[in-house]
Amino acid sequence: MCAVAWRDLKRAAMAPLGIGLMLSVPLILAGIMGLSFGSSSQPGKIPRLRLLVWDRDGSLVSRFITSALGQERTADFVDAAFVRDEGMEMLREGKASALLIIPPGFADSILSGSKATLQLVKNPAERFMPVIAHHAAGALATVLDALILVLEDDIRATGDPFPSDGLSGEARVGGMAERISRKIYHLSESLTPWPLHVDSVREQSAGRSIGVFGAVLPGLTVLMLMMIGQKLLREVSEEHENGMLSALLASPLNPIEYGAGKTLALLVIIGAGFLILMPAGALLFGINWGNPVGVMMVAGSFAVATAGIMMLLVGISRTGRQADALGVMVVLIMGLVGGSMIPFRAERGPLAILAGLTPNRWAIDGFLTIMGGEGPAAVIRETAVLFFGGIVLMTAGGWALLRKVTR
Amino acid sequence: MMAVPLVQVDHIRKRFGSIEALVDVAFSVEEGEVFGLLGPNGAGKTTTVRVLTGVLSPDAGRVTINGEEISPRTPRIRRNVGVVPQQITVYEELTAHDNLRFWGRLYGMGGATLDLRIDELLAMVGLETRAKDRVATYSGGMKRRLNLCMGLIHRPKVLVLDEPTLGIDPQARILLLDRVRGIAAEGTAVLYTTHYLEEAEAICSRIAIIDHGRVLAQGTLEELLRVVRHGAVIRLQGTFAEADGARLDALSGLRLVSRDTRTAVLEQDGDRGVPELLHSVLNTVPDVSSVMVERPTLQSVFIQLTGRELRE
Repeated sequence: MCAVAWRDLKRAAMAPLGIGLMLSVPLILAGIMGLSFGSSSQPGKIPRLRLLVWDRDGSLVSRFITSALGQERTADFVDAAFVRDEGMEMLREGKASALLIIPPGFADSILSGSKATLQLVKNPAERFMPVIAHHAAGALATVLDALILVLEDDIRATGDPFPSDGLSGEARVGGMAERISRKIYHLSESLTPWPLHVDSVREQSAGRSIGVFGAVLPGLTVLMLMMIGQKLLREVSEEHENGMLSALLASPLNPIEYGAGKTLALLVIIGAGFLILMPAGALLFGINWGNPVGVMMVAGSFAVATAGIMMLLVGISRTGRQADALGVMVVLIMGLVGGSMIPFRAERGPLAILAGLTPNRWAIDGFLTIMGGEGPAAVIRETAVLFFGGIVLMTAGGWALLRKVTR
Repeated sequence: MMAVPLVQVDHIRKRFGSIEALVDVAFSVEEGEVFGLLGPNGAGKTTTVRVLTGVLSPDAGRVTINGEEISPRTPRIRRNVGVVPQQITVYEELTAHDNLRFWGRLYGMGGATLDLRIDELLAMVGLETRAKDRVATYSGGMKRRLNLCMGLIHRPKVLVLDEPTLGIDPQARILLLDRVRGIAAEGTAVLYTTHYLEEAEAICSRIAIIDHGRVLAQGTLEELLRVVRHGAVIRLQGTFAEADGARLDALSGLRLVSRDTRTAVLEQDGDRGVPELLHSVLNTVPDVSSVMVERPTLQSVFIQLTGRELRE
């Protein structure tokens, strides 16, 4: 068993370029993501949309928008600066991701029921945040549309210069405010719970922030390490095809020792991958991976799970090419569903069930928990699922492989 | 006294689903002998090798190595066997030394003993100066030689060579065959599978002809050649009169096949040896300008046994 593991490790060490390149991918992708979110993305901080707002209308409606953007809750996501004509220059200097212009006559257009337009100027030097700004402006327009529909009568009443009800202006405003308040109250009742909930990054109980890199890198790391695992175990099929396996099994080595040796090498390489990527992530992106024991528990059990999946794929594949195609497909699908590629989290429904079947999801959850400041006890469930799931898959894969090689 | 066979294959059978790979295979290989297993592709040679090396269990029959039955569950007995498979099974990223070190460790070797053995083997196949080079930089013939070393690393009593010269140049083939002869001379029992007739003729002391999973005939080359019903064919060129034909036909141990004024073809028919027959012929018809003797070959034996040629 040790001889097989030694051979695989030696082969990997003699041709390190492939594995080295694969290990660099998570760091490069995380770096690109960081650059795309803008240079202000600091470790431990959620990147905020840096938005310049130029209120050229100066009306009640436009002030409603600017005050909404300046609220404390909104400030978690939007860093709004209120500017005038210097806004374009600031945008050119890269001081913001977008400039929102509320044009003159905006409120009049709304009150008259004609088309009202918000202008958004995006910073061409940035990729993602301007897109977010665009969609945020779209959402704002939708909310305004909805409010206009609901409060149409009241809005028109404010525009009537000759009221015929004989009431004083104060009384009309008071009545209108009461009606608007009542409508918004009923709206809130029918719309609760709110369909849209923003949960950018989970905050852990210890309250330690993870940051954009911390949210992204664990997922990319487990994805690439699965790729490396897939590459290593593909060699089993190749050895079966090129006669090496028959030659090996004609020696005192038995199939179980062979499989165990392969798995041991895989565990060491995946472990080494973590040992390279984690300090690199800390060094380059300031990621605090948290309690080392907890990290090792998650990393080790993830390696077992990966070895199990790969062993099963190799066992059920007829040829090396088939194992290769199947392996890549499984790794990519697991990466997508399990949250390696896009840091999302489905809480319920079929997607959540599928995600729960991937080692990615459990490993990412484990890493984020530890990074959030928890201790090893908090990741016992993740570790157990990964480890025992891996053992079950490894057993099934080993059995399939044994059948294959003794035919 | 008859030598005790190191390898005894007793009527093994092996079936893969509906395919009967081995129907009835039985032979033995003695110490210091090169035993050839000759047959076309798909005849069952490699399956026989896999059963003989303990990778597969036979459905019936048994294989013993040095008196002990071998199977996938007997790793201790497999230590007596070295295998050089049909394909080149070397790790190209590793050096020759590392490859051999790996194989040595599989057999429980290590330390200085293993290093010495590696040096000895690499010197034997002429690769000692390339020991620390990656195998990826080797030629096909060099890789074949290294493959041979892998089968010998643990000094096996039995060496199984499964078509070891497949795809190598004639020079490398000669070198490899020479090494195989040397290994057998040191007392190793060698089982050599091939579909090259000339290789079997060149190095095997005994040969079994296998086809469709069945051993059709086995014995020394001379014994196999007796399977062919006709003997040697003697072709004469010269000037032959009508009476010469009758005189040649009357010679004991010969049969006249054809004759015209320029050529006569005779066939050995009996136990008289070819030199003796030639002496009689030349005394009978003195006006002979050239003589050509065609002996039956393994090819003739194979055609006789199977009704077809041994294909490449």
